[in-house]
Amino acid sequence: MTLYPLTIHLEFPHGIPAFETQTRFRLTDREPLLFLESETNPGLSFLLLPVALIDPDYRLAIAAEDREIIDATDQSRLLCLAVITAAEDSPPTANLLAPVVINLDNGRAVQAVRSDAVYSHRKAICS
Amino acid sequence: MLVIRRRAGETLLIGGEIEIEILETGSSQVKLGIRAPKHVIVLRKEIQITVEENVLAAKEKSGAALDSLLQTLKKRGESPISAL
Repeated sequence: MTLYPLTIHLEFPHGIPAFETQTRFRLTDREPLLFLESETNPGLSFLLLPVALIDPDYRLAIAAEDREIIDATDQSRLLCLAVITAAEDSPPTANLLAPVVINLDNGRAVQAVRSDAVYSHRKAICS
Repeated sequence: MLVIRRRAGETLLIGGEIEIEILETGSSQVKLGIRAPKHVIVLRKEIQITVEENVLAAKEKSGAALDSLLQTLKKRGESPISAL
């Protein structure tokens, strides 16, 4: 995939779980890490990595209602990123249960929580 | 864990205020109807897991954890962008 701009502005129409009122974010590339930062709450940010980097065989399963939220019609225009938890006392993990899915065509995004139990919400990265 | 067998159309009660009706059963899914007071939050468990994980992920990112993450990425010789 070609490089996207250093910062892209995103709309999460329903916010994200635990932060439902936060709908406007920007995704910033500070290589080699990606940051998702709230545009309305400067203190709120997440560290993200492409899901493919954590599990090259990852298969995206996005529920119909999530697909509708971001108006996803073209699978090849979706960017799939994992939220990283980097806590003090344990090795960093990736939430593969609920990837952030971005529609590059309209800048809409959703954290697509899977309802199957195929992937861990705490997948170790440093292995 | 309490295990109860129920058929479609049957109902069970939790604590007098919460009613769960089995609406439909299939080979791999059941459809449930839930009647509960407004103050009772009903969530798919995976949503609750993600809520908790997001709260954790949003907290200050530990420098040590970030370092080990950067090391791993460097070791693999991958940049996130090239994986997109």
